[in-house]
Amino acid sequence: MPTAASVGLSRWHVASRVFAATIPAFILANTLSIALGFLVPGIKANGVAWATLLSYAIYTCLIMWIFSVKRLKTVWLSIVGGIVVTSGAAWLFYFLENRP
Amino acid sequence: MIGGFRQNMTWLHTWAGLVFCWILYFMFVTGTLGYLDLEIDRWMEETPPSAGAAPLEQATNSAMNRLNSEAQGAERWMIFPPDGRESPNLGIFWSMPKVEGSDEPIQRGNEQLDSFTGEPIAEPRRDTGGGQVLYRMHYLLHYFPGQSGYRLVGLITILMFVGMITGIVVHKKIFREFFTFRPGKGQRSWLDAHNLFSVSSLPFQLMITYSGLIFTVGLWMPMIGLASYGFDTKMAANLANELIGEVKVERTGTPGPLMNPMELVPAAEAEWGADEVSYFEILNPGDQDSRIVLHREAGILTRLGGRMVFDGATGEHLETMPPTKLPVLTFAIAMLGLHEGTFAGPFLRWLYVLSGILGTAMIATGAVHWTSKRRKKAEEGADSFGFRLVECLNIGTIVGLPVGIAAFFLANRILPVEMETRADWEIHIMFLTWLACLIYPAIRGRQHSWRDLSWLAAAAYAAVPVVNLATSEMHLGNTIANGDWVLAGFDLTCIATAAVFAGVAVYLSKDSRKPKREATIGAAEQIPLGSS
Repeated sequence: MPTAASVGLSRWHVASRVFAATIPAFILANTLSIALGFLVPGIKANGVAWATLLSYAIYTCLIMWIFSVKRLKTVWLSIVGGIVVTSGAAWLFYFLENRP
Repeated sequence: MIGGFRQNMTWLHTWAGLVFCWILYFMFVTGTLGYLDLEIDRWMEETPPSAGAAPLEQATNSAMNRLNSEAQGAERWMIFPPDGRESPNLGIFWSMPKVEGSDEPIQRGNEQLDSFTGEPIAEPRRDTGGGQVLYRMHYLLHYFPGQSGYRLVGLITILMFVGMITGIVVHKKIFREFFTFRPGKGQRSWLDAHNLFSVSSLPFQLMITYSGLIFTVGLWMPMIGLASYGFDTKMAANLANELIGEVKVERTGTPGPLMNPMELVPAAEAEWGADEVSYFEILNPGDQDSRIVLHREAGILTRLGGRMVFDGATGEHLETMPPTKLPVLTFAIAMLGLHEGTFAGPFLRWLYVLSGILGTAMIATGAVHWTSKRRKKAEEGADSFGFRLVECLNIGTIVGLPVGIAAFFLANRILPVEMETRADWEIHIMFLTWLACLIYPAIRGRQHSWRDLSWLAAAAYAAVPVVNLATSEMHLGNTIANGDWVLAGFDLTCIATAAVFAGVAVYLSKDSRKPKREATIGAAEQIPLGSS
């Protein structure tokens, strides 16, 4: 069975994922939750409350996903892309909701 | 990562679990004791049994008299009639209006009264942090400035949740392993024990971890609410009011009459049924425009009953408010209610304690398994500093923290009653004892430390009822004779804890006389990244 050392998996490789799982994944968990909150029907507070309660579950899933993907490049592209797309969507939803 | 999904998740489980496991252990131990906080309070303060609960009318009149004499001109009064374990006495609270243009903080007061006489309850005989200080450490830690301890706890709880979910994922045969225990097989036994403790209490651990996270949403996830309202802090702050609803009334400044809230109880009972009024809230007492709010008994979990709002001067019924407008809030509050377990009677309370102990054991066995798995390699010289550090932290925390808590109880009885900083020193002594237990294994070595500290823990817990006998009237001889099972229970639990640690110490003494026996590890059970 291969070990970390035998396939040349450096400490930096692991550190990169640990970093991705702490700050960038946390940001993505927030932007994704914000976007999802707009999609929940009912009064505004309802969507915000559901999104907030689910945010930790979303964050946990992201962490697990980061440590299960084979290629580091996939991790970083998805996280950065995810933040851009979800914050864009959240901005769009907010704009649609608050247009005059 | 390399390897299959389960192997990667095993790696994540190992490291998410290990990094902060000693603080997590501390959170579990103090949180478990938190379910007995009021009982520990009584023992440490030497509070005699409560005088009992006066009828609602008598208690309310006592409270009104006291508030009228102590808190004239207040913006809000609250009256909490005696109600079981959580509040055996009559509680009152008041807050004064904010002085315009002044930076002075709002003046607040609260008192515990004898519900029959209305006299304030006597100060505790001993100045002590009591069970409350242990309970607060569970989520604030100690010696941490501001909210940094709370923040750290939130972070560790996320790691705990990651550990829980990955732990479930890596178990292919969750039910078969539940019935598997192979004692005396070294590393294999530690893993079996870890599985047994985790799986048997899994629903509790999931509930306690996720609800623990919900406590910290305001601290760690405020951006979701803030951003949804376009970063308008005012709007986001209104979120809570939008969810629960607020009784608003403007102060006129003209004095006016105030009804006795008891006169409104029949109207509320007509709608809710008998004995459904939980507590009273009075806004602008003595002002022309005042409100009396009757709060309904909360459901077992939800902690929010409905409310009925009356005009304080005329008694006119103005509004009936439901407990909450949204199911999402019921869910959140039910989770918080489950976490705190304030609704639990004696039987359920002990079940909470048992579940807490299982969680504590889950963390302890997981941490020991980490070392037992790596011992062979470490003794060959690879990465031995990290290994020794984990081992010292394991021994010094798993046994050392309970020793520290026993020292906390002993300090409560031994420190002079007139000492000014005794409440602080109780806690310092607890942490100093724990620190000593952390250093001890580094000097004495693993084999002896487990056994020595277990003997120390047994001796310390056995000493608690003995020292209590020497320093207090409320010792087992009196408490059992008077049928005061809360105080007797404290001493008896210490004796039982001492017996458990003595049993462990005896077992370890036998074990160390035998030649060392470590089961060899099958190649299939080795986890690739775990040993990196």
